[in-house]
Amino acid sequence: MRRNKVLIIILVILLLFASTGCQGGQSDQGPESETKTIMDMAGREVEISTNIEKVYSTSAIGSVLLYTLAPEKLAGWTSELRDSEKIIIAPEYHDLPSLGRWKGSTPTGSIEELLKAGPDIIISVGDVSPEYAGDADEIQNLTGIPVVMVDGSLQKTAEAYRFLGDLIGESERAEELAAYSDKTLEEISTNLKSIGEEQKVKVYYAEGMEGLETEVSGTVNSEAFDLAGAKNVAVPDTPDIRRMQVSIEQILVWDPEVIIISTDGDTTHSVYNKIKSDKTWANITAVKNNEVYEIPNYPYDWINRPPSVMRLLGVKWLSALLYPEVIKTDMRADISEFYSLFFNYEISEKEIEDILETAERK
Amino acid sequence: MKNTAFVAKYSKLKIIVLVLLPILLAIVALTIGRYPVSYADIWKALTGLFFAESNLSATAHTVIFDVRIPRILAAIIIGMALSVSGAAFQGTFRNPLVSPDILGVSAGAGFGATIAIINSWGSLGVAISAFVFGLLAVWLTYFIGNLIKRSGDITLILVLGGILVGTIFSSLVSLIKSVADPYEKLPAITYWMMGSLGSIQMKDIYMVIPPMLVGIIPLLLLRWKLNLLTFGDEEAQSMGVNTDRLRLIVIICATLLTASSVSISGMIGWVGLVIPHFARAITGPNYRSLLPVSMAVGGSFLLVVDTIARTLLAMEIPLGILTSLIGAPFFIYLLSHSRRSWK
Repeated sequence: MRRNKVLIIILVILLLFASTGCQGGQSDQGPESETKTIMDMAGREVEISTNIEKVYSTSAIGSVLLYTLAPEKLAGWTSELRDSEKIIIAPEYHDLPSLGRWKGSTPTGSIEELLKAGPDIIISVGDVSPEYAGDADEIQNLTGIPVVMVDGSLQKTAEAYRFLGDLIGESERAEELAAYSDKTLEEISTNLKSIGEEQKVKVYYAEGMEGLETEVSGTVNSEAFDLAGAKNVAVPDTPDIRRMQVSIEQILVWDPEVIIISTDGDTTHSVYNKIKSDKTWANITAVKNNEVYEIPNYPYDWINRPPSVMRLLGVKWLSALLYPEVIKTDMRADISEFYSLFFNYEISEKEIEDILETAERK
Repeated sequence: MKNTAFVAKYSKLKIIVLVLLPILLAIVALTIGRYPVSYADIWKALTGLFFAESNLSATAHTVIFDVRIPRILAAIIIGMALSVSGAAFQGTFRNPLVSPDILGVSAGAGFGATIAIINSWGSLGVAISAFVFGLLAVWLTYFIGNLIKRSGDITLILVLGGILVGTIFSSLVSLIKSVADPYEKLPAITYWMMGSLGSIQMKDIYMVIPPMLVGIIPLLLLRWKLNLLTFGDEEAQSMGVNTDRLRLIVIICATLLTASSVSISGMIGWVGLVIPHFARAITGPNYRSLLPVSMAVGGSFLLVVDTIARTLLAMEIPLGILTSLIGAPFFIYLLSHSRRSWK
């Protein structure tokens, strides 16, 4: 009996909380601003304001996309900027609030901080599958701010820019970046047509502290490899696997011709040095032929993690590295152009040499 | 009415089987793996150790000597260390549900590893930091235990202290994880927590052998005294045992064993909890035989599970997950089928 009473009291309290929560959500809607209903890239209908001043992205992928498109409309970053980001990102955006990653019902940021920053919309860039759509709906319900989903796959970069540009009234700038994206990817895929399936270079993508983690082919995380014409040795043997740990024995079986290392932002080249000197790696074709490279990470990884628009440059770099006879390009000029166009940053020759130090065939 | 000669012979047989078991399994494990190495190559490699000439392919040589042998050795010694440490703790705390991380060593080690990963200290840094923080956590537990012990049961207070310290360290880990870089650091922390022997090399083994020996030798020498601890402090003291000192020695040794294991393998759950029970089912609760049997069974168990982890799929199955998945149902089976006392 007594237990029942306690239960009832708890239930009543919970109900009270739940009902006040709903009220809070409703009273948030601004009365005066005009709205329109749009269809986002996941096919969801979202009602948004016609005049968008501030945008927040749930992840770093979107922050980079937004920054390159319209930095003045960024409502905040997902986490404090790292030192390397502060070099590239213009100083006036260094002090934007850090509002956390938002995924599903377990955000790392605070709702109140987010509301204080006052974004007109939130964008969720990445996978647009139904399960992620559910996450977006949840964030929308939680915050009362419309959440717009944007396809984050590399191949749809141009489409994403145009879509977002229209949404926030930055079509001109969006078209400029979209045109670059289309041109880059089209050029590479045209040039790679002459490479047959059996001529493709076998690549192992080494991640993690020991280089014994990898990303299987066919996901957003390994898309850059697929588009650069690499034959990713890691083929999933069970569905729904993305990142996986592998044993050195398995890598010996795959015997990749090229090893591409994710540095995880570590500037000490620890995995690179280990793979090149450790005897367990020594008999792999890539190591024997000195075909071991680090992915440039300045200020973001060029290939993955976060899978951002940096990958446009990454695919160019990787395809030129793997197929120098068909992809003929001046990497140094490409790098200057990319950083200037996307980040409005004039990169120095020394920076380029640092980036390419372990990313080029010597 | 049993024939004593038969019993003696039977237990001798048991000993021989238990000593041979890990060795036989190791030989079998040496022949299994993702990279195809023929039996002939393995034979060549092993005989090549004694006769200098060896016409083995370089890759096969690497696979046998630099990949499989270190990993097999690591699985055996870590399995042994965790099991002995679990058995010793269970006796000391007179509690069958005690596992080697009861005093917070795993949580502490996890925190140490997390800090090292966040600061990019490299794999050696991770191992050292995990080891140091593992020991630190247990020291904290012991310190708290002595601080609040009045007349109460010291073992109970220590267990409580262990829960406290463990909770604090795992909360700190969660805190760091929630702010860690999701693309770079978070996966590394998560993988470490799941445990793996995938990157074990001989130098890791050389590194943990000294602290492990320091931990295991006193336990083996004092193993008959562990029986006295299971009777309870008063009885043990009446038999002239300094229980406080003995308990401290056991805690230090068992902690050294666990911390060294965790530092190179990450978290591997359930071995230290289940294996001592299994060993008890085989040999009974007497620590004279229980510790050696736990060692043999634990080493064999972890070797078998790790061999599955590295061979079943192209991906490595996280070892800690596999030991839990196999260990938990096995534990239930043991509990429901064993009528023996756990002491």
